[in-house]
Amino acid sequence: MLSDYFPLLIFLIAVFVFGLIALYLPPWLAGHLDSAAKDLPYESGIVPRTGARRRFAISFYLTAMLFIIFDIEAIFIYPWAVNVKGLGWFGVAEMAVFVAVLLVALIYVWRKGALEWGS
Amino acid sequence: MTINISGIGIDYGAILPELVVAGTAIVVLFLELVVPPDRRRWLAAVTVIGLLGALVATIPLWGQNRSAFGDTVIADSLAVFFNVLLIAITIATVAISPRYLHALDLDYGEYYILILGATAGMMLLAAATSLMTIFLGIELLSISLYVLSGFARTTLRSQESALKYLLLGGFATGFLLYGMALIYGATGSTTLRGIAAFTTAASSNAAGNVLLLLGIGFLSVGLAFKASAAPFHMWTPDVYEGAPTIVTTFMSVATKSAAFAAVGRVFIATFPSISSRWYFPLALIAIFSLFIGNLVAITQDNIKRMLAYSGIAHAGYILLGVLPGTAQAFSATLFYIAAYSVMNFGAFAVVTAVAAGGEQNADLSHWRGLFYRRPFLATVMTIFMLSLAGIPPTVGFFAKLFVFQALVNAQIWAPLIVAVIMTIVSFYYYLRVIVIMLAAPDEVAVEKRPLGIPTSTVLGVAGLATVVLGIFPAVVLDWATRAASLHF
Repeated sequence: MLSDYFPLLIFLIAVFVFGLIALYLPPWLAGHLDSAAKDLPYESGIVPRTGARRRFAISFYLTAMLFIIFDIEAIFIYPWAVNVKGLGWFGVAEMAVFVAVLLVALIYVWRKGALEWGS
Repeated sequence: MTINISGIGIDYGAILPELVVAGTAIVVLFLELVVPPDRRRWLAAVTVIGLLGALVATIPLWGQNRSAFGDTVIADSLAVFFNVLLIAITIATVAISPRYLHALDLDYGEYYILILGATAGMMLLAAATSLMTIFLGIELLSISLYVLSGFARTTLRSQESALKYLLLGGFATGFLLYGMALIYGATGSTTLRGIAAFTTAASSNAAGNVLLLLGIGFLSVGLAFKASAAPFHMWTPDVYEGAPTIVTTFMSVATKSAAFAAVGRVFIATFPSISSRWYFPLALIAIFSLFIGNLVAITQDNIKRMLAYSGIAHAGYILLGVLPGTAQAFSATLFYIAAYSVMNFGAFAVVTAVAAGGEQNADLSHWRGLFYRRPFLATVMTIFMLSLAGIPPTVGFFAKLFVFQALVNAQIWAPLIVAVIMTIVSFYYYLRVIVIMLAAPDEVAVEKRPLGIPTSTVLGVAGLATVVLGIFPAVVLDWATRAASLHF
């Protein structure tokens, strides 16, 4: 039973070994040169003007959450759309209920002002 | 191409109670937008009406054995037993909520939506007969409770408790899901029926299947976390203390009940053939819970933390009834869960009522002389404390008696001895609350607000039920026996 998973073990070992090789072989072959320019965030030479950890408005977070919800809705609709003929009116009714529930949620967040930007 | 959907057993009647609860949540979500803020009590009323509708929908399912949606959920007496219990808990919670929420300035409609969402998840968990629906139920109840723990948005403790619960809960969910994946990998099925068929088949050698046993182990960790059994209990005191008391009241009884429904279905119904394998770890979890819960509760000076540790101890007692793996023992577990729900709900509801009455400090020292300030609250609290300790004639006595009886019948001695000794230890901290309430009061002027009819009624009914069921336990025991026996 457990021997069925032997290939998986080999795979894990191979992943680990490959990672080590990719990490340590190039510096060993090519050598390593340090310079101040290499420590800059952009090696293209653009001088960063502010810190990387900036604060974003909370609106981005809300928008991202909404995006995920409706993205998942779309993901559910795709397989349904492929099979809609086979599922018949039952499938249409099921999807209508699903979309209706999300519609209520959309009305809710709309009324709560989650879609207002910067007010 | 026509897809045959008749074969997967679509049966909305079997999950009607869950649908009604979820539907009520959507209706309340909608109403929250149109109801003016000073009329938010209406939302509580709508919530209660929806829950009563779910109660009506669940009664006809009693005595049935309706597997639906491809063996993923079942409408049987066990599910009905838990549905009635959970709906009753939720109605009682919602009834005492408005006054408490108003006192803490938390009167938002979202509270009822989240409570309904958690209830729907718990009911689904109690009816789940597939790893997928178990997971769905647990997530639905957990996510609602994560938000509810942090519902007091301006209180740092509440935020901390929500974050702790979320992080540790997410970790436990990882265990749960990994366990499920391993069980699926070992047995090739996600439905409990399919898994049971695999483990009972002679050819499978399930007791020696490392993947399966590992999977069951991880699954136990996830479920023990939700039931707050030691050593997976670390989150319990902090979350119970930090969360708004009304939320603690709800989740300390409802989550535990639902989690044990899943424990029963998984261990007793699905893995009876390899009970020799899960018996020892489960016994160890029970003994740990009894030790840690009862011993640490002694040192607690905050009543919410004390009740949290007492809840851990009670998870141990409830788990004891699962150990023999028989219908008779499981009916004792069900009785214990029902008894625990009534008395622990009552105890936390008193804390809630005291907070709603203007005393939001849950330190035991602030409860000095409660008998003189609030005689009714102190009296019902005394009943609940005596019942939690297991002193007759309260329901807590019979709950412990039935579980111990089941252990004697099954010749399980070591956990029984621990349980009996720990019960005696528990007398100390339960009786201490009564002594403190009776002590002469400090001369502090406390702003006193009336309790209101719903809170008094809920507390009165809970107190009465604790005593009446302690004198006539047969009714509930009969239901519990029938719910447990149909299960096999």
